[in-house]
Amino acid sequence: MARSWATMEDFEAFLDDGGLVEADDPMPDAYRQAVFAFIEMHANSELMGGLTERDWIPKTPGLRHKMAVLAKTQDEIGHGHLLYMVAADLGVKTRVEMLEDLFAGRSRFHNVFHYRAVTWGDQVAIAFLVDAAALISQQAVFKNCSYGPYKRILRRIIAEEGFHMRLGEDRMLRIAEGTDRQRLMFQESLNRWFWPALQLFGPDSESDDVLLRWHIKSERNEVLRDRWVQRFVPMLQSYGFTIPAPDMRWDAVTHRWDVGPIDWEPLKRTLAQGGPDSSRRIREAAGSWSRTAWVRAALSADLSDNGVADNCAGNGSTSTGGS
Amino acid sequence: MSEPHGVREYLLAFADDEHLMGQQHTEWIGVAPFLEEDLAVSSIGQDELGHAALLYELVLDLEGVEATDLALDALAFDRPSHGYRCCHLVEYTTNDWAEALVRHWIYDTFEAMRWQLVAGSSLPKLASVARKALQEEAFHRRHADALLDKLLDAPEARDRILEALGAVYPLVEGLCEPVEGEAAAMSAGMAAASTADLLEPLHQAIEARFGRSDSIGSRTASLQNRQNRRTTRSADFDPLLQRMREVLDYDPGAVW
Amino acid sequence: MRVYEVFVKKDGRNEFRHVGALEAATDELALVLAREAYLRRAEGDRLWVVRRDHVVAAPGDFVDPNADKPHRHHDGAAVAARRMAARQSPG
Repeated sequence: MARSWATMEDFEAFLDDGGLVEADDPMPDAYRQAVFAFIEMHANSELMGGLTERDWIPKTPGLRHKMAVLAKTQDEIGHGHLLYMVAADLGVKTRVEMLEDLFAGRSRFHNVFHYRAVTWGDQVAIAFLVDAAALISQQAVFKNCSYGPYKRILRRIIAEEGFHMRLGEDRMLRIAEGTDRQRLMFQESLNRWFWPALQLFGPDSESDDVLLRWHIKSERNEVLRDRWVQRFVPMLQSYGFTIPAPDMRWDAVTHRWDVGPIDWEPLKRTLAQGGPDSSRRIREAAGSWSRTAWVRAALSADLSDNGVADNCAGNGSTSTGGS
Repeated sequence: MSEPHGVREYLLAFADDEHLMGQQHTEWIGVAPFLEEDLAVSSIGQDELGHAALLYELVLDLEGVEATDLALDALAFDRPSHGYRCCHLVEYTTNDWAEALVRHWIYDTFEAMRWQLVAGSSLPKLASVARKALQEEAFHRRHADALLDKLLDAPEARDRILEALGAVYPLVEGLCEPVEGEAAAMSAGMAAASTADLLEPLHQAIEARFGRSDSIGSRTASLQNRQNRRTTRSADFDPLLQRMREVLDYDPGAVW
Repeated sequence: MRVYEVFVKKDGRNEFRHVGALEAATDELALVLAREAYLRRAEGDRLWVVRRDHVVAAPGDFVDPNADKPHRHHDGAAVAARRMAARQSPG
């Protein structure tokens, strides 16, 4: 059904009422930009996550193990694909523009994917802690997301992340029950990745966050972060690992873990200057992107009857809406 | 050459080829030419590693060893390099996507023929693995063909593909080189024909696909000497094996 | 490349469902690539890909008037009330 909203108040009332916006709805431009930026960052993060894991995949210890992690990273790339398709339909940037902005360092992604996975333990820690954090965020977005195409693909993404969580915990369990060297390796990884993973949720939400007002997100960052802490602190401890948070304490009144003050400086520095390892990963991906330009050019040749996909002004429910 | 030894060598050559081919596909995760292709290559890599795992299991069966992950990985990763029986085509390390695609097409064309040879194997488990693998191979070839249909039609891409064919082609003959002991394996009913018998049909398939080009004008006879019945490794192999073993070597005996 | 819409059907009971889109250069590539983009875990047993520019879509308000045809939704309220009354006054 076609909708139009005379004023922002009408539009916001529609959203407050649980309304779902579709790609061809005449949504307010500020909403379009906000939802696009959010999905683009999510897409970039999935791809960067895949590129972080990529370094270690050929070295995966074990044949069946390698098949499982390959399938997992394939899912992350697949999520990037789904998200870039949905983002492109908003008509703000094409898929190619989004990728090239990422490769040129012009766009954002989650802080964690700036850091280097130094050991195999890091690979496991990322798969466990960071994926869990991402899943908690995505579940909260899915619950009440006002942008229909995003909400629908999140259902699939979340289902696949469920497989990853189980794989991640299984891998961590084997290390926890493993040799001293393995346990030490993972403890060191935990020391490196605990805080970056926790900071994936970002600082406390601003009171006037439009993402919350427009039901793109449904829960505040600090609520999600706390959910992660309550779930993973006891789990990691139960496996005999130490949480690298010296000021952490158990609040006997609220029955909750309090990790203590969060140092946001590393995150701010990372976001301002780029991370220790992301530029190398991006350089590799960008290098391959330009080395394979001939493939895309050849595949796009002789399609002039309807132009390239990104410029295809569709006319259906899935099509690009004008802004 | 005793029968079990020949059977083992035969299975090992098959498994090692699948293992290394799968490994080569894993290198493309995240950096294939476009995202949809990334997903397809990754799936094909998973399939090849899966074939390798099933074939290694048959080797362990033969040895009376239970196919735990640990036993499987010991066989797959923990041999001296002269103990591997892969061909040089799958050892070849490249970051050129045209070469990767041409090898993918050639390897999967060969692989489908190879599975056909064992579809009626006297080893029932091998015959049943072949049925599963042949279904997967139909998709692998369809994927490579769908890309090549389009790319060979575009002049610049065609040049690159044929150049890649020139680079990969000298290694094709080694793909069809049998191991020592294959004759014993065949007399045990392992396969319907020798791996060497696939060379001619493979050449014909390559010509049908890519045309008679200069790239495939000269067949090299020297590779068979260099592979020495698949017992010698090319220069790319040791760095590749080292990469594959890096984490395993960190803590030998650990379960990951 | 072209955009293709991807439709998947799960089993005998379900209808084809739109699951997403992808870019491909040919129909054959669209099918091949759709399998690994959308059916990696056999999420369906039937697959359609349709070029987006081949989808004939109605304008947004095309169906709107049919949202107001109450006579096509007989709610049976009067009959239900009559039955209820009859049950409450036996005899």
